[in-house]
This record gives sequence, C-alpha cells and structure tokens, in this order.
Amino acid sequence: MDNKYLIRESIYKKIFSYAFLILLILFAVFPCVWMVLTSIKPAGEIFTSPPRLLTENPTFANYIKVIFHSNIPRAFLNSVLVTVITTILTLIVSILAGFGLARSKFKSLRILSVGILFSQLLPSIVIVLPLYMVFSSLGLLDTYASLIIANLSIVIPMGVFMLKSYFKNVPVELEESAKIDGCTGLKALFIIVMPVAIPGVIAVSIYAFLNTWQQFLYALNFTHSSDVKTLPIALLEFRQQFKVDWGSMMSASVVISFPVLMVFFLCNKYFVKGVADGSVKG
Amino acid sequence: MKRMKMASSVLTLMLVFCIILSACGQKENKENGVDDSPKQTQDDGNAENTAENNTKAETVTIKSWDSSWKEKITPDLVDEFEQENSGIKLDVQYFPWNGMHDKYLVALKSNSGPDVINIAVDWTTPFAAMNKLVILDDFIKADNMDLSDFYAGPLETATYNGKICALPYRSETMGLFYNKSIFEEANLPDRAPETWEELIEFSQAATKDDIYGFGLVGNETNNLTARLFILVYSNNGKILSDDRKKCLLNEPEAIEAVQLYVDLYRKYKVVPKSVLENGGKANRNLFANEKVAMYLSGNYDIDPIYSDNPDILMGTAMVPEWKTRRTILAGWNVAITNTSEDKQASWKWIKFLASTEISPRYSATFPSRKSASKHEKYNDPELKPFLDALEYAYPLPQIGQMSQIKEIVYNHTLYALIGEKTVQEAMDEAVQKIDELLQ
Amino acid sequence: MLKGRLKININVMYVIPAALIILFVMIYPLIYTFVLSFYKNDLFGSSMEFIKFEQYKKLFSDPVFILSIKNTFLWTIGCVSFQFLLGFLAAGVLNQEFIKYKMLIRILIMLPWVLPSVIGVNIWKWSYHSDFGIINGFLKFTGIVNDDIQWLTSGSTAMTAAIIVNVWKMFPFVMLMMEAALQSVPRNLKDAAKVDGCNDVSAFFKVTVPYISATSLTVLLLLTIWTFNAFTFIYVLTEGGPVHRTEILPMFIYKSSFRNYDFGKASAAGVVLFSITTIFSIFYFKFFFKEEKV
Repeated sequence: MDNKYLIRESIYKKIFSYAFLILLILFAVFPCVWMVLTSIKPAGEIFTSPPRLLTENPTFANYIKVIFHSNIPRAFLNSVLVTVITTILTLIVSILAGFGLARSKFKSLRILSVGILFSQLLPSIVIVLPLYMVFSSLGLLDTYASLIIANLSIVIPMGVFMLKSYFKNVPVELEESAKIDGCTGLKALFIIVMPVAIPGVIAVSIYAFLNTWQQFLYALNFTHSSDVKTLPIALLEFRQQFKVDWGSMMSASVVISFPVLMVFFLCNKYFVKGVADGSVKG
Repeated sequence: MKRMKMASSVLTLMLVFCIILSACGQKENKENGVDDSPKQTQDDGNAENTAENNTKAETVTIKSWDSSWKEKITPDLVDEFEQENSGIKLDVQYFPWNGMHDKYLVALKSNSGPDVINIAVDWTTPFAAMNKLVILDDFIKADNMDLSDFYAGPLETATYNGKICALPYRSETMGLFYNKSIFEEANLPDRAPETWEELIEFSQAATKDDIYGFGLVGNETNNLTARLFILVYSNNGKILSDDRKKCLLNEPEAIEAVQLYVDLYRKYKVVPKSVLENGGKANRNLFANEKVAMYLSGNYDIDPIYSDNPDILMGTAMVPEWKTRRTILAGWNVAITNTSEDKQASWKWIKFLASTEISPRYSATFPSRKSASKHEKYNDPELKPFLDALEYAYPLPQIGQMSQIKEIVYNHTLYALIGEKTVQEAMDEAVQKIDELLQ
Repeated sequence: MLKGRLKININVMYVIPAALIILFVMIYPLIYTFVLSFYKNDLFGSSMEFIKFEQYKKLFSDPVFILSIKNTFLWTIGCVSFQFLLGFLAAGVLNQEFIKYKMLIRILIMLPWVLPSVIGVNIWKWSYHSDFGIINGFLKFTGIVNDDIQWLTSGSTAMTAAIIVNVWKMFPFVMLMMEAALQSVPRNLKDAAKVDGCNDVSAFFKVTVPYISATSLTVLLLLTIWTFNAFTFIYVLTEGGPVHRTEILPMFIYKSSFRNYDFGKASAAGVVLFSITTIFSIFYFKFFFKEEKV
C-alpha cells in the first residue's frame, strides 16, 4: 500500500521536475540561440514580421564585417588587457588583505572587514562623476589606467571578503609548523597557506574576470577613443555605426561571448565549488 | 590538474589569436583611417607643442577633435594639409555621436580640451558664451576672408555678440524620402506629397499589412525634436520669443504642429507600432528594408540606404509645405578653443577645412559656402531638393540651454505620444519648465 | 612581546594596499559627491553657489525624483523576489536524486549569468521589439495574443519586461548558491525526520531551513544591493522610458549628470541612494547577526 502511493507520487514528481527543468533551460538558453540564428541571417531577412526562425540563406557577411571591418578586434584586445591586469592586481591585493584580516587580532581591522563589505553597497553611478573629474585632472582619461583603477574598486571588496573566509578556514597550526621549519611571513603565505585555498583564489579570479569583462558604466564614461574602448561599449556602437544594426550586433555578440563561455565551460567545476564554498562559509 | 593545463593552454592560444586579430584590425584601421602615427615632416618625427606662435623653426602639434564618421575622410586631408604646411603636425581624435557633446563640454569646462574642435551648429554659441572659443575676427581680417561667401544661416550660428567664433563648413536640412515601389502598389502618383494633408492621405493609402505609410521618430531627443520643430516652423509657430525669455510652444500654431505629429501615430495609425523604439537610424533601416513608405531625413542617408538595399526605387523631395515652407538648419562648424597654445596654426587648419576646395570633401552633406555649392558632385538630381531647401532653412534659437530645452520638449512629446496627456497639457507643462530654465 | 606586536603590524601592512585603493576610489569620490550636493552647479555656470539644503528641497519636490524612488523599490522588490524564488525552486528541483545529467543542466542554466550583460540585454531588447521581435512573433503564432505588444515602450509593460531580463540574468547565481546550501544539509537528518513521521513540508521547515538560512540571507542581501545599483539593464533597454516609467534612481542620477548637466542635483540624489542602501544594510546586518547568535 505504501509502495503504490510512493511510486505514483514519484512519477508525478519526476514528470514535473523534468518538465520544469526543460522549460527553465529553454528560458535560459533561448536568447543565445536567437542571437546565433540572427547573426547568420542576411540583412533583408532580419526585419520581417512575423520574424522567421531559420533562414534558408545563412551568411557569414555579418561576421566578416565584424571581424575585419570594425573596431571589435581592437576593443577585444583592450578588454583582454584591462581584464587580465585587473584580475592580477585584484588577486595580489585581495590575497594580502584577506590574509591580513583573517589572521589579525586587531579589533579595528575586524571593523575594516565589515567596512569592506559596505563598499559593495556603493552605487557605482554615484562615484562616476567625481572619478571623471579626478581622472581628467590627472590626465588619466581615456587610458587603460582609469578603467583598471575604477574596476579594482568594484572587485577588490568582494575578493577580500571571499578570501578572508577561506584563509580563516586554514588552520593556524599549518603556519605554526611551518614557522618551526623556519618558513615565515610571506613565504609561509604562498607556500603553505595558498595551496589550501586554491579554490577560493580561482573563484576570486573568475569573479574578477567576469565582472571586469562586462563592466559597462565606467568604460562608457571614461573612454572615448577606439584605442582604449572595451567590448561592451564597442558593441553599443553598432547601434550607431553600422547600417544593419541587429545582424552585426548579434555577430559581434557571438564573438564577444565566445571567450567567456570557453572559460566558463572549462573551469566551471572550480568556479561552482569556489563561489559556493566562499559564501557558505562566509 | 589536467583540466587546468588544458584550460590554460586554450586560454593562451585564444589570447595569441586575439592579439593577431587585433593587429590585423589595426592594419585595417590604418588603411581606413585611424592613424595618429607620425607622418613625413621636414624635421624629425616627434613634435613639441610650443607656447609661441612659431611655425617655421619647430614643428607644432595641433590636437583636433573630429567625428567618428570622418575616420575615412580626414586622414587624407591631414596628409594634404601637412604637406602644404610643413611645421604643423595634426593629431586627430575621433568621437562617436553618442555622448560627443557631453565629452566636449566636460573637457572644455576643465580646460583640458584640444586645439581645434568640430562642433554642431547648435553647440557653437553656447560654447562661445562660456568663453571657450577663440574670436576669429582678427584672423579673418588678416587673411582678407570674404564672409559673404557663406550662407546667412550658417554664419548666424557661428556669430556670438556680433563676433565670429567659428567657421561653418557643413550645412544641411531635412527632406522627404519616399519609396516609389510602395507608391505604385498603392496607386499613388509618382511624386512626393506637397502638403502635409497630402502626406497623411498618401500614408493612409500606403499602410497595409506590415508596411506603414510614415516612419515617425519616437526615440532620441535630437532626432525627434528636429522633425517636430520642422512641423512647428512650417506652421508659422515659434519655439522661443524673440527676446529668448519665453517659450512659445503652447501657442495655437505650435500645438497644431505637435498634434499632427502625435496624430500620425495615434489617430491616423500610419506609423509602425515600434515608433517609440525608433530613432533616426532605425527609421532609415525601416525605409531601406521597405517597411515604411516615407520618412524625413538628411541627404547623408542616401548612400547608406543604397548600400543596404541597392535595388530600392526611391525619390527625394523637399519637406511638404504647410502654412509656409520652413525647415531647421543643421550643420557643423570648426572652431579654435581658448586653451589652444598655437592659435595661428589652428587657424590655418580650420581655414583649410572650411575652404571652397576642401569643405565639399570634408562635409558629409553640403558645404556652407555658396562658391563651394557649385561643386560638380552636387549636380545629382537626388540631391537637388536638399540643396534647394537650404534657402528655406533657419537655425534653432542659439542659446546655451537649447539641449536642455530639447530634452524637456522630447520628454513631454512622449507623454502625448503614448497618450498619457493631451498635447495641450503636455506642452503647457513643457513651457512651464522651459520658462523656468530661461530665467 | 615584541614579536607579537610585529605580527600585528605585518597584518596591517598586508591590508594597506586594499585599504588605499578603496580610500582613493571610493571614499574620496563619496565625500566629493556629498560636498557637491550642497552646491548649485551646472555645467554652463562657471560659479558654484553654496546653497545648503536647497538642493535637497528641490530634489524632493521633483516629481520625477519621487517617481524614480518608487520605481527603484518596485524594481528591486520585483527582481529580487523572482530571482530568489526561481533560483531556489530550480535548486530544489535540480537537487533531487533522481535527476540525471545534473552537470549538463547546470551548465546550460548558468548561461544567462555568464553571458556579458550588455549582450544579453541587447538580445532581449531585440526580442522585445514591437514589430520584429521574436517574443511578439511567438505570442501571435501561438495565438496567445492577437496584436503586437509594445513591451518596452508601453507604460504598463515596460517595468515588467525589464524585471524579466534581470531575473533571467541572476536566477542562475541564486540556483548555484542555494544548491550548495541544500547539499550541505545532512541526509541522515532528513531521513530521520521522515521516520519520525514528518511529511515533506514540515521536514523542510524543521530540518532544511536552518541549514540554508545563512546562505539565503547572504544571497538576498547581495541580490538587493546589485539590483538596487543595476544600471546596464535600464540604460540599454529603455533609458528610463517610456516617460520615466522605468527610471530607477541610478538612471535618474545619470540623466541629471550627463543629460541635464545638473551636477548638484545628481550629487544630492547620489547621496540619497547611498543612504538608502546603507540604512538597509545596517538593519539587515543587525537582524542577521542577531540570528547568528541564536
């Protein structure tokens, strides 16, 4: 009697669960699919009502336009440079700060760590104008430096927060025994503690990477020449520069998303683990 | 670990690939025009900015801010200029339209701008009012430049307090584009409508299935107000009083004009449903893809339309008449900023750009000089209506708050477009806000 | 004793780079904004007048500002609740044992979060297009509606349309977090509860909730802060339109600064925005820490 009830219930459960997941996947994925489908449509077929799903004449004209006749490649390089440098600097600063905060017995430093989380609260829009003025008087406008500095402010607080909780979970005994062997301070940090906290480090890098790669507001206001512009802004220009907006924009989107998706697919195991661990323990 | 290794090697490969790609992109860009690398000069490559007006002994670098759509044109002009003027080197930066005004404004305000600036006509007097533009009267006198060669409208935009503060090089106004094939399908005569009443009739005849009669602009401040104000002027309405202290957009003539604009969408329904998403470029796309039969724009759209749709059969005409024939003059000027350290060299550059020979090449539409309009490239029959229309074109009131006024008018027109307020209500509110601004 | 002091000092040194950056890039601009809010300053005037609280008075009597505050709350509550509900539901469903191909499903669902915002939002914008968008196409095709809906340009649907995009973007993050949290609930406790006669629902409340409450609260806080500050979505989708219907506070500030050049007003609004976020967080933390002690 119990068994029948359980089986019936579990069949409903299964059907509902899978159906729900399939719908969810469609919801999550359809924009990407639509993006790819639009990017291979020839110009005339994009503005149709009702919109056509598939095209009979797939073309790569949009891609050729985007890769060879636009600012996208340069913007790509800019994005890569800014993102990589920001990520590296973030790691250095966050590891140090996270470690310092995790190990310190100073009360005021503990308050600082809460304060760091508070800086997450800061609406970026509020500091755009003052930063603009400062960068302008320092001559840093329209340079990589302005983007890197501004991006660091967004990413470092979270990085410190995540790493602090990681380092806290590394038992102090490890360092104690290292000290006995004569290994102290920074050396101890890098040789002994870090390897244990690697998932956290990876999580912070990926967080910094993803965030900086798509950073929009600062790039919008601090850069204007195509030498320094990053991808999100270059993408928006397709709405001005090119005649057939959507086709090329969709192709550009595919080009831009590609590296991010690759990174994600290859590293997702670490990423999932790292982010989840970091916040659950935090 | 293996996965990590694979990941990092893939990433490295991608990075290398991207660097190669962007190097190719750079080369492509060099051919197409973004190139600030030092060119051949008599002296050694890197020039210094000198404080003296000395152009013979040392090379001087002039920073010039230009628009992104000139990236293919300006570099050639730079070459020619530098060859004629050894000792002057040009460093040109290109800005896209979006945000251009803001960037200029902030740069000028913080005195960190370039030597030469390329500005829209409506920005000229405001910048001059802020004392950011060099007065050119002395240079003009010294070079015996004949100002009567410029059309009256453009010259007005470059004059502040009776003094010239910029040189016009590009003037344009809007015309009507119409799709001959759609007209034929709808049994319409093979000509453009001549009055706004006719335009409504034609639009209604042409609206069928997913094709609409008129591409109305419902998005983007500058584009919407440009067309709206044309209607206001055509109906003998005014935007501001002559003393510039009061806004007159809620007077009957102006109200009629705004009402017509809104009615095209709400009452006559000859406009696509996506109107509120469609700015200038979107409407051009719709026209090029033969989804709207008519729309208003400048002659700079002609080439892009043909490049999108080489088979399109279209005609051009002047904007329909109403009580009178009047359109808005738009265009661009070049000016020297007050932070320029070498005004003499800057003057040479802007004189060059605004000259009879060069301005037809520099301007994407028409030049501002009567002598330059005789250039053979303007003999194209498709261009004729636009050229003729210059006679009927007048600039907007030249005051600093014009961009804020446009923003207010734009916002309130939208209330009427989406039906939340009547045109009278919306304009009354707009006028109230604008009057406050003008005090 | 000296060694102890030295140790503390080293830790302080480690923290200094981070503190410096935050000081320079965040604290200084914040103070600047705060100070600027007491002046009347727009780009055309070259002088700044100190007008004390005039700016705030003007701000609070501006109907567009009040509307933007209303919009911000609507936007935040709408987004956060649905992001959390959807993500939590997804995590719960996915976490069941009989589900196969978990990794694949997870990767596919994560796509919205990983895709750069600008791109995702632009695709949605194109899909929402009144005449040529795929959403209207689909709805008409299936007969759900007969006429095109103007998603982004009609006052009644614009906010909803924008919320949907934000939910789409962030729910994978929630799912990820909550899945990890759910997995930390020890199996034997759940089974024990079932044996004791609890049905699924009460087992959920008695056993699972305590374990996931910490993560849930953290996630909700993060979502709220991120949504409150969200700029890209609104900027790309509607720019605050139609007629300010989707203009949230960050958008209002941006427009005041860069369209109307009224920096005094923008700064005042910025101070208001920051104050709201701070007060909210203080209350949240107080509540949260109380929970922890219990």
